[in-house]
Amino acid sequence: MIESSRSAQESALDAEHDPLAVETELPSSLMTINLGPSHPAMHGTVRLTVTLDGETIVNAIPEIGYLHRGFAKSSENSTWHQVLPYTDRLNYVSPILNNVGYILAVEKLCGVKDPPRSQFLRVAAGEISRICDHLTCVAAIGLELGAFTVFLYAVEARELLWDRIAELTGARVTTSWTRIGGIANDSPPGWDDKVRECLPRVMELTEEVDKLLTRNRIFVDRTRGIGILSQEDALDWGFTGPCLRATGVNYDVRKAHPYLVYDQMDFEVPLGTRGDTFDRYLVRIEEIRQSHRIVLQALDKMPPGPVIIDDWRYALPPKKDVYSSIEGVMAHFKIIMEGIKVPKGEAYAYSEGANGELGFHVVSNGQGKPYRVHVRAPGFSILSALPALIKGHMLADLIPIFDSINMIGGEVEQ
Amino acid sequence: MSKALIELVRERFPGAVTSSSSDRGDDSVVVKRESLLEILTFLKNDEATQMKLLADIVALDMLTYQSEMTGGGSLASQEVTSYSLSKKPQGEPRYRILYNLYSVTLKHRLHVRVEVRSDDAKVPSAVGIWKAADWLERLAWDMMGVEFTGHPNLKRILLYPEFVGHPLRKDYPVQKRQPLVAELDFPDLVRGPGPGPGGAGVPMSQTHVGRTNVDPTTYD
Amino acid sequence: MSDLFPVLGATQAIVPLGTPQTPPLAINKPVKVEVDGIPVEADSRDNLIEAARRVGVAIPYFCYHPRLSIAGQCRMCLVETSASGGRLVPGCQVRVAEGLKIITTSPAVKENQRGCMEFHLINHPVDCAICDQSGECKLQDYYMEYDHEASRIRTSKLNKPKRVELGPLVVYDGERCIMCTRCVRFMDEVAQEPQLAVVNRGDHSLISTFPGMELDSKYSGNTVDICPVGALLNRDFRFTSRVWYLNKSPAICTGCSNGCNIYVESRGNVAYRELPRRNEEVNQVWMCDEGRLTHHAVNDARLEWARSGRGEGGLIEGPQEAVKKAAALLRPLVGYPGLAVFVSAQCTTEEAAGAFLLGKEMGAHRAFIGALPDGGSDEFLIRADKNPNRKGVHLAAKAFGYQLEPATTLETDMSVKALFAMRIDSLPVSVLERLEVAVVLAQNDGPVAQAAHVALPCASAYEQDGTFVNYYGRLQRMYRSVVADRGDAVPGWVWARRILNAMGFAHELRDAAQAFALLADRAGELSGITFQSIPDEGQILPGMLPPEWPARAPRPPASAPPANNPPSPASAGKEAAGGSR
Repeated sequence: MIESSRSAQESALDAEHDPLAVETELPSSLMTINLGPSHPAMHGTVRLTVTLDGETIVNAIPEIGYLHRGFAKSSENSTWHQVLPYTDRLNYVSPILNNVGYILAVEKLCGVKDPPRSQFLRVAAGEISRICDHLTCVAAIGLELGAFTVFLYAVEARELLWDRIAELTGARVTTSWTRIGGIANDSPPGWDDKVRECLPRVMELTEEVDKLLTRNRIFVDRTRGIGILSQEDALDWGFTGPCLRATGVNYDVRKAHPYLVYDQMDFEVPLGTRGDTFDRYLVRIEEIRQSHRIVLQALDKMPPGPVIIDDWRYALPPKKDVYSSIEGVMAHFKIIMEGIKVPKGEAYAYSEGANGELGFHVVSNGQGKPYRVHVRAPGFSILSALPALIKGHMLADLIPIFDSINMIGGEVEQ
Repeated sequence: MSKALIELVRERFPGAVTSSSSDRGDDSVVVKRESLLEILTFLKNDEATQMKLLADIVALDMLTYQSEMTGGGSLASQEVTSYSLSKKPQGEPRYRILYNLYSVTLKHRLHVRVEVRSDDAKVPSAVGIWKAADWLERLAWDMMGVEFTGHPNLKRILLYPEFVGHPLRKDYPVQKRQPLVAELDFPDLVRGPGPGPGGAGVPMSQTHVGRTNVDPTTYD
Repeated sequence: MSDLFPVLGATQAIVPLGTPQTPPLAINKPVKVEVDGIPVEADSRDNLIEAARRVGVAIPYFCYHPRLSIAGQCRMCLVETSASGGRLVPGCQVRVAEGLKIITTSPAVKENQRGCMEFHLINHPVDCAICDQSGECKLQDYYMEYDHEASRIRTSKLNKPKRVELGPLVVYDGERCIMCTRCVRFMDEVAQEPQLAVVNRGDHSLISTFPGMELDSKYSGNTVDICPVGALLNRDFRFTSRVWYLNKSPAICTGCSNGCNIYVESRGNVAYRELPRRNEEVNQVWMCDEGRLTHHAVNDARLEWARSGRGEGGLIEGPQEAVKKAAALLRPLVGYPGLAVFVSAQCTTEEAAGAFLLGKEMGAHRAFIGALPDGGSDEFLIRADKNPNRKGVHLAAKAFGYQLEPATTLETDMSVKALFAMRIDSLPVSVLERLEVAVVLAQNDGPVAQAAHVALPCASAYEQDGTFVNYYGRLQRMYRSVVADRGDAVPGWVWARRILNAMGFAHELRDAAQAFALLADRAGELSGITFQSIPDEGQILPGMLPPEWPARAPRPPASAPPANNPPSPASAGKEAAGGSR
């Protein structure tokens, strides 16, 4: 593809070029440069082979796979629960959303439902993760357009939330927090209040970021009308999530097919109008506000009660029973050593990840290990449209466009 | 609601749908390969379906679905004994390709499947219908080795071009390594604790870990 | 495996990939019944458990065993039938009848199963973490399948004897015992040495030997296998490995010439235990205690590295150098009348073929057979000949035109000056010391291997693909069950090929199948058989049936008159094709 476009361009230049004329344009040829896989301006390790005509991008070929870890193959050789840590590393900025997405698929296969408190906690922690993810994306766009302050503000807000996640799960990003039929542990005492205390500061910082960027002349000039994709094209490329909603398509899994307790939550789905970099940024800022609303509602409505089902086929028995009763120790042994026996069959469960529809297609042949785990990573389809997004723009626009689709190597390259 | 979708496909393409199911709320139709593209095009463009979003393409290898274990020989070990190698379970048609379609306007989802045999693992490419199919098909080719005929650029996507084989096939050994640069067999490298060939404390050079592609009947 | 008939569902997870599936029992008189609405064609002699098994419906049981009498001890198999009038009947004791409907999913059945599990576990100690049965325990499997709830019974557990050494191979833990009496019935009915009994009453019951006696039957290990819980454990295997770390692979026992079908369980290059594998025509589902110890020769005192030079001056320089030295020693001897080949009856048929091929190429005129000395025998599974493949070695010798002489001849016959030995069983050290050239393949190191000019490590039978021909002329496949390499050890025919190639004879023996084909081309008994075509249950070679048949030995049903009346080749072929089942 590069070859053909190059020869076409060159022949066109040759035809125009008259060696006798004084006032002809300087002859130029196409230039191919490598961006990445390790480049300060690139997110993660992705390599772009960009063909330039001057500073205009003629073509770009993304090359991915530098972060490929064999997620699917590893999952096939682990028990159902041992897959959880691998899901942390899919979208490592919002790991809880991945944990929840995967567990929803396994629960769909098993036909179990977690207790209400677990559902509310999953929603609250998931939305906190979503805020972290969007903050990271917004911070990066700002940073790479020269707004370092934005980055510091957003990361401060993110740190506040990651501390809450760490209090809840024991880890900032490697959470592995969900379990089949519930979650690993209840929130620690006083956690709700801590979240309520830190959220105002997070929102204050978000508003600062909003003020710094949304009406900032430089930022708007660099992002308005850049990297436009129409609604039809976005769907055709398989866009979901904020990138799709920036084009004005109203598709949010939380609203379209509510899971957990999202049907009890009051929130709006922000939509863009043009589908450019600016809209993708704006949708994310607004989604942070909506997620904030959801977190508060979830905390308010959260009922007391158990956080995991009391079925020893799926959930580990309490430690007291494991140490002192034969029933407990056998259930514990079977679940740990052989894995949970998930009924035969296939299931596709999808939830709204930070970047779009996060789907897990799981197949079981009735054993303690998954037969197949396939992840529908929202970023994968979005990244595949990158050449279409950046073609015709200047090289300098590549980075903001690339930022705004929020490519996460972990989930794209599995 | 979605049952109607299956019925619609059945009505519109009599004879093309070999089976259908609505297991756990996932509606899926198994269609014949010859009419796959026709059905996909219909599902995308028809007013009653409007499946503008190709959410995913999943490739599935059914080779060992009927057998007891998915991984290696025993529960914790991934060694495969020669008996298991000599008696490979046969699951035909071996590959299942699943197109996960969704309509953002009508909010319904349908899984369209094709089943292909291992000696003829080819599926017509849907790149002409959805642009998203480009990378999704490359991923399926890379990982499962199912060929999408008519794809303009069917290259590996996550793995490097020199890679041999398709790792998500069930007969691809879990422990197989294909380094781009040859790995040195350090004689002083000692396995850590835990189960595995050679056991703890045995020098790596005396185990076959990491050297599975070496023919054991030759000298080196 | 505590039970050799796979229980669908409950114990599936611990059956490794590729384990041969047990075919359902043959139907003599068909009876139509219904199991949970599924129509089944069962045999009139089936009980409800077996009828349900035919369609993959698992009725749980502890005390029932298809090869033992019915005890009805455990009450786990209670189901409803259309004839029971709403009451529960034991699935092990009730036979099928025409049109009977069996219900295994009714609330009453489920409630009984849960209640049974709860009762069975009242006095069970919290032992899983230290119990060898963990991972293959029926209590664990059934608990997860049929109970999976906390116990409602609040009582202190009963203390019983925990480490009673019933015999040389078996240790008993009274607390884990659920009194299914499978072991008692096995000793009575199959081993026919009633050494075990139930003593005391009620929940104080114990399994015990008679005072002053011990469980010293040659078949005592089977009580460990059939014990559904961790009450009877194998003293040889105890505390050596957790069972879920072990790879299970089909093999043939090397302990004697009966050729019992077994599983070898191994991890890395260590074999841990042998368990019987079902073959109705060879060993049913049993094996003897001696066979359970055959892995010690695989693990202990192995010759691991190829060595050249005698005694203390032995050098380990790698296999290539050793083969070069062996070839240099043997090359001048081609056609020399003092050269002989020695083959042990412990060799696989392929190894024997490799040795004889080497002998033929070098022009050796004489061949000797070594063997482990004869031992005890009985009328069931133990044969006096302690070598798994004497018939196969003789078959290979005949195919290559050799008349095998006993190893003892070597001690007196001084004309043999150079020897190539494929394994060293019963080869005297004195012979080796006087030989001018001795190239020896050995599995285990020792004085004999040290006396050789070149000693090459030979893979054990459990470490290689190959075939054995047992006492009854049944050709059976071995698989490479122990996966990881041990030193330089490779199958004997690989060494034969390497030496042949180093001497300049072009022979391509890439794998065991090729070595087998080499022999099958020359041996009339093997004509038409390929390595891959040998069925899992083995193949009877025409004309190789033994002259007399022990009274209780399992046998192919078609050859009912056993002794002195070998079936015609045609009918033997039909049996081999699987028609006998």
